[in-house]
Amino acid sequence: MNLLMQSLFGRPARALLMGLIALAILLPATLALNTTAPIGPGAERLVIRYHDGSYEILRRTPMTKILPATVALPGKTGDVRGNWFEVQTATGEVLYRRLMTAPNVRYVEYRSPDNPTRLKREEAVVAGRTFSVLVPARADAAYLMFYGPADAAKNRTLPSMEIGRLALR
Amino acid sequence: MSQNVAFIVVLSVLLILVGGPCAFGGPGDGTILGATKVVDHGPDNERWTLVVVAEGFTADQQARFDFLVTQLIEDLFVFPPFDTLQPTINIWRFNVASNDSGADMNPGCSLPESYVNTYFNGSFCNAEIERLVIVDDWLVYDALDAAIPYWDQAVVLVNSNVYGGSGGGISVVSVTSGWQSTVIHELGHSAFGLADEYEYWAGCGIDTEQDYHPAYEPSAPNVTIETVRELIKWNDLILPETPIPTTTVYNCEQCDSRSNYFPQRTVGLFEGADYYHCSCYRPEFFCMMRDQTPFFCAVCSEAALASFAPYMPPAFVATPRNAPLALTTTFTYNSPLPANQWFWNFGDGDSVATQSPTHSYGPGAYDITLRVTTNWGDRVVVEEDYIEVWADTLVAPELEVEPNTAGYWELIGTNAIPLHEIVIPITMTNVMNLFFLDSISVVGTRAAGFESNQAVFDNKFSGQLAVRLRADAGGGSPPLPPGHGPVARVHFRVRPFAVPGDTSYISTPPLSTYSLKHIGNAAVFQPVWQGATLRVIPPCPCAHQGDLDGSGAIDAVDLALEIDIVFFGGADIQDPSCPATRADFNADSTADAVDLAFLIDHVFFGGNPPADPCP
Repeated sequence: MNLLMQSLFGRPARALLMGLIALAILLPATLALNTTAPIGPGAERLVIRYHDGSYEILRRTPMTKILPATVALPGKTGDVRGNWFEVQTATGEVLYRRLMTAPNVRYVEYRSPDNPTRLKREEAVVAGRTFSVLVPARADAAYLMFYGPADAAKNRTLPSMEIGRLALR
Repeated sequence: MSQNVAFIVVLSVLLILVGGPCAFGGPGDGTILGATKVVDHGPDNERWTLVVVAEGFTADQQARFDFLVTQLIEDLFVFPPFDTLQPTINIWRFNVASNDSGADMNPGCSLPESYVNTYFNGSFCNAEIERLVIVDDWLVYDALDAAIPYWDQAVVLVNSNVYGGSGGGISVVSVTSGWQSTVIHELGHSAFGLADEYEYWAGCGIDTEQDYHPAYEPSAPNVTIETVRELIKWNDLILPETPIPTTTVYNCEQCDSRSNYFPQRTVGLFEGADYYHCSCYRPEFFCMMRDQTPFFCAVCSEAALASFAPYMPPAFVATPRNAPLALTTTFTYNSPLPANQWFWNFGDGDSVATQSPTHSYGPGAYDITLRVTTNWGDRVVVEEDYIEVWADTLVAPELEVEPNTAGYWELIGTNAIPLHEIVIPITMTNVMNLFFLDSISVVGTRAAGFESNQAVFDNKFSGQLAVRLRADAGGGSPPLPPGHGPVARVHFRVRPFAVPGDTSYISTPPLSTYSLKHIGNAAVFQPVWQGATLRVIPPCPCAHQGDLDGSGAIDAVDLALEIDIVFFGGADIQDPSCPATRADFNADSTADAVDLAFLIDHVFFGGNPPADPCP
């Protein structure tokens, strides 16, 4: 809100000018955006925008690259708590899985001023942010799935469930 | 199309609303100076590639940024398990000059609001959390994707003395005291998928809702709610005598302030983890993921190794690797890199496609090639001279020498494997009055190209001298290839007091710590030694053919005498017990014009000398 007030009343002329510049730059780029580009060999980088519970691929870059190992879950979905993404086939077979931080959370950890030997965490749930994942590019990869607790805020008492899905082909 | 246009219009309006003077960053607020690969362990697309990004450093402050990156590398690679993982990691330094130094301070926190123009638009006080520092993710992705396409993880160093940062795919940290530990802790999350192991959220005594962990197993490998020993994720690392749970919290409404009463590095089930006081457990009392202890717990390290296994090179071991004369050995695949198929080339023409083959060798050195098929493609590892079977000898020849002369033993070496080093301790008998041990050289031998010939033990007056011959003393020379021939010369003198019949014996017992040895690629062993006797014989009574005046030199005077004998009937000389007369240059039992021609050729044109009458 402070930023908003500052923009509206503090330096409105410059803010308006920068907004118009952004419009001029981003419009053609977005019109050219092609999220169904062919998947290249090996792997691809997906730059993803999260906004209010929905996910959108902004850019996908095919590449030949070795990725970190896929991980196993300590139980089946519904019994496990945490955030991760999966590349799945059309029939739900998991091809690749990595743990990740919640896409809707910004957090900071720091040494507590009252006890410098201990860490402390603060976080904010945000409506939107951009993040990137590296995934294997396989012909049978149909979906990029995101899992996380349904209650996204601090106490996260619920098990993880599907919280997002992107078609890869 | 219409949806895209609508989206852009909405986005632009939003940008206008939130866009202050510094809301955009990018090229208007600085310049990308370039990317430098500061740790290079191979192609980026075959390694885990970390990029350290400068934010809020002006052009004049880039040297400081460079220094900070160097600091991070030094700290990272001595920190387990990053020390082990080092070959799997590349690091880039991404120099970006911002127009201003520092980062924005948004309103709503204790420090005064302020704005600067920086490339990635870094700012403190986001969501009114003063220490929450974020950058414009999109700008970072754009810059890195263009400059370092195969990057895996970015760490943005914010040039500010205000404590703060943020975690995630892009880790952000301000460069205040202890920032390197913060980066390493965050890599635990982003690179290895590790959870925090501390047992509170906002701080001990502050939390009111962090008493009991929810009844769902955390996905992270280093925290659990499981208390049945056999079902614990890290059960394989827990010793049978370690109690389960190992420690419990006595009051779930508070942090447990008791100190650790188990031996350091005990793996068990310690209550308090994943932001909860009770009902959740961590593997060790201390860990980087709990309190920035300077190590990751064993479970975290295992998770790290498993995560980076695809970047690991294939590797194998064989036991044994070397032996004299013959060897039968078993090869074992030995890499965290999971493999599906194994194809071994044993270096002797044989090959096999099994996981752990056994193979037999005769003398020689053998390169081993292993090709494995993995989920990430085929990988090959070649170990040169990995198997060494030796049948090496070092032989000194029997010698006969005259009194008051100098000479040398030429040690004949036979080696079946390439040699990097040869140590020769020489003991020569009867040196007090009869002989003198002078030196050991490699001039004119197979070891002449060795870079170092160092006398490591010198007691020549007792007839003891040891040398250490090294093929490569820093210059990169190759080892002595397998072969046969002289490898060293042991120089001596026969004292004037020696008389025919006196002898000296050369042998190679250890001198101090120096024993006779050959050092191959992996094998250190003793070649079979054959000593020899030096025997003093009477001086040769014969003058050289051609040395007609017996002066010891063949010159023009001898030529005049030869002409006199061949053409004018001059008297030739037959020394007793010698094979030819002095004028019989070519020792064919006749002194004639042919001898004269040989003599002219030798005296004036450097032709061959006559045969030695006393070989």
